[in-house]
Amino acid sequence: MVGYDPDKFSGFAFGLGIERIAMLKYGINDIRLYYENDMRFLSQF
Amino acid sequence: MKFTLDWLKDYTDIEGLTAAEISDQLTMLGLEVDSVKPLYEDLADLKTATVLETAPHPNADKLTCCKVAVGSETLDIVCGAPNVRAGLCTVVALPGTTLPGNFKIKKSKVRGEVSCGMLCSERELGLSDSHTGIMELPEGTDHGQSFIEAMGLKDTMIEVDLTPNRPDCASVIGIAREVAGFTRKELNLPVSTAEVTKVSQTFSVDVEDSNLCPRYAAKLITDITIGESPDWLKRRLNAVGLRPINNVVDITNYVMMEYGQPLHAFDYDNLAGGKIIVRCPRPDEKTFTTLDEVERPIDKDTLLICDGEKPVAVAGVMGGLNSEVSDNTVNVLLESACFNPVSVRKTSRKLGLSTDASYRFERGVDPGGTCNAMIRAVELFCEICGGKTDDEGVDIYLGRKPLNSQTLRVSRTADILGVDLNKETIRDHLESIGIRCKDKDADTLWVNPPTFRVDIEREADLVEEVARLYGYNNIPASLPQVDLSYPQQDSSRIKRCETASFLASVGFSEAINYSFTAEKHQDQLLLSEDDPRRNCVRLLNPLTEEQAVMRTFLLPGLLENVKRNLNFQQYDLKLFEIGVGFTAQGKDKQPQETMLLAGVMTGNRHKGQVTLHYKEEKTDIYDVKGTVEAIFTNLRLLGVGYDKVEFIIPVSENIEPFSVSDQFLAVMAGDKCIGSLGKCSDQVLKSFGIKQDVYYFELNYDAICDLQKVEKSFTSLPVYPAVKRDLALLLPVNIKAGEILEAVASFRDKLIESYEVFDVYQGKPIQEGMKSIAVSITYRSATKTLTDKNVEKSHNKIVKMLTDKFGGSFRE
Repeated sequence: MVGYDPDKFSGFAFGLGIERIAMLKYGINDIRLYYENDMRFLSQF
Repeated sequence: MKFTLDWLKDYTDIEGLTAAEISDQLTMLGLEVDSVKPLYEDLADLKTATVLETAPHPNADKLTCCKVAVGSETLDIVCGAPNVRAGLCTVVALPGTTLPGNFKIKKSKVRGEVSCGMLCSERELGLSDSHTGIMELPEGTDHGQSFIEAMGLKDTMIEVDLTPNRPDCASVIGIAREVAGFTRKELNLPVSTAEVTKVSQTFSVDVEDSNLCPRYAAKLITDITIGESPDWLKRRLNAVGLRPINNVVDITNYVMMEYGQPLHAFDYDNLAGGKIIVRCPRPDEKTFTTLDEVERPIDKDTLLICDGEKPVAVAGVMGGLNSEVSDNTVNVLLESACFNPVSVRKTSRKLGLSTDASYRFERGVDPGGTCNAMIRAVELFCEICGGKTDDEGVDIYLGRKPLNSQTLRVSRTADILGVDLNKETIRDHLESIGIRCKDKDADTLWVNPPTFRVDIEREADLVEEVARLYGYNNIPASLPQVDLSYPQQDSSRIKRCETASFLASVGFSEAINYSFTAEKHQDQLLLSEDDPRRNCVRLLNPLTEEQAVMRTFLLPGLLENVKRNLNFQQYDLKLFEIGVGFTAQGKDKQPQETMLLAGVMTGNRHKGQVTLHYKEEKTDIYDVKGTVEAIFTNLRLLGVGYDKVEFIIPVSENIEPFSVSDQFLAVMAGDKCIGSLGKCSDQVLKSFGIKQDVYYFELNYDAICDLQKVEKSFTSLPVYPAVKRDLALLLPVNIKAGEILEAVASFRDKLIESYEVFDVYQGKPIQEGMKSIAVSITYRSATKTLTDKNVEKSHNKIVKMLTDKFGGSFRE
């Protein structure tokens, strides 16, 4: 579809949102916190 | 997509499989099970009962005292239902039972008469909406049994979260097909080879655009009696969350759930001219009233089902009020059709109307199954509603596509999946779910995906089918073999990380803002009409005004962050952001993307400061200038003896409109301006609702990365000692300290090692209009120790030069 020959190229496509991984690691409960830039959040890291 | 195991059993044998096993298998096949709910468990305590005798309640007209047999006991129960009578078999809730809705049954007295339980209606049991009387069980039902066992009410509801590529599974038969695939049992369909071979003599159908309506089938059923659906039908609809209405409508919903083919029933006697025309609106047709009694606007793209005179339904979405089946309907025209997914989706979006039917049409209804579903529904109409169908029916299949024929290579499949598969295994898996295969050659199969698999378009789709049917868990895990080579480093990214780390270590926090922003920021920042930062990229379908354009610079986002933090009582802030600004370059070019670095400082200089030590020092212009100098020093663009950048006070037209004009500096690299810093003007702060001073800087980080940093090199340590001398000058206030320093610099005395301004003083005892500037000069020779006389000479020359140049006088 975008010009790659499927016979030559194959692979995996997946989305790994790093926000979600960080949420798991640090126990963050709301994904919107990453974009609110609240000092009470930023200062914890 | 909801279905029940009892329903699923109609189409394939699931003996020996638990609900959990079926759920697991379906999930691993790609049909993710969201929930498994045993049905009717909350009715486990209810018992069957037979009313032996009734007598009117002495103290209440509408109540009846009953003697009710429940197994070995005979109980006195008071009942308010109009249909209670001796001999009636019904359902009883004994004291201690809790009905759905947390309704606890207790032994009580009702208007003076003892009542040891409650006889229940269907609504009280949560089985349906029926509440006109207590539930009537079939005559002769033994009393004292478990109600749910006696009625065969043991069932489990399973809800599958369907992916959009499997519309064929938006039906119980579709799910059954997948289950039959892994059990390798038979799939039994009620109707599977129906056709309309002749043409109706009673009504006609005209399809104007076969693109919008590839197939349209219809049949006339006469002598219908509208009534309630039989229990089994109501129960199945309720179990999957559909509300029973009347037998005709219920059958259309039932068959839709069964086959995934939405059906619609028209009251035939309300269709003018005995014809159906599938067309788009005429210019004078502007609105249409759907059967929910809402008048909706239609436009030239809304596909309609019309009779000889007027629209009677919005194709694929909802029927019209003017043709809906009512209690008086006797003749039904049943529609089973296939509509263009894009067209239905557009219409559904425009009308804001999403139905079970539109859901299926949007994703792709099987054009090969149109007649099967129709004939199935017709059979049920005849069986349940007393209908007759002598009419031949109509089937207009103008949009028939050529047979979908694909090839599948065995070797390619084995390669992609990393499993050793032979042709027989592959063929076996595909055929288990209805995908026919034929040999092409030793390595290849001809594959004909059935029409209900709208998602199989090429070889890769077939490989995926093999993978999921073989079982992803069965594919052995192995790590790929990769050559490790050191990747080329992205030097800009490394620089960004260094700058970010540096700023964090001097007390800043990193902000990340969305690239989408509000257009009003341009006005809030007082940008002039021809400012290039007004050239923004506009979103076609923004979610909100706040995210309607792409940002051209970072400062507005940071000011919003300041505002938000102030709202949460965070007053001392040092925020920076490194991100891209997008400038539009006309319709035919991609926008210019520039990496920017911006920061804001506000509040106290030291966060959470203890007044004992810092005595209310507020951030000022020197803090932000110092920060920017430090950023450049850290990048080795500023340092002792070299300056790749400098700070200047530009002419007034080059001062940013959002900055206070006398606290503003432009950052220059040669004669290119690469950024600025300053104090935000009160007007700007007011428009953001910020009530304290804010200092900002914003730099073009791409331009910074282009600058050559100065490599470290060694300078030998001085051998001889230095002599430091001060001088103070009384000068008019308008002379800037920087001018003094420039003058000293351009004096070019070899002995001068360094110099700095260490005091600027205005006020008493100095006369008005004048100020004192004190400069300290360090002298050192590379060849000898300097004497006072050497230094005197140079120092006096400098003093004379300065007083000559600037007026004013020397102040000891």
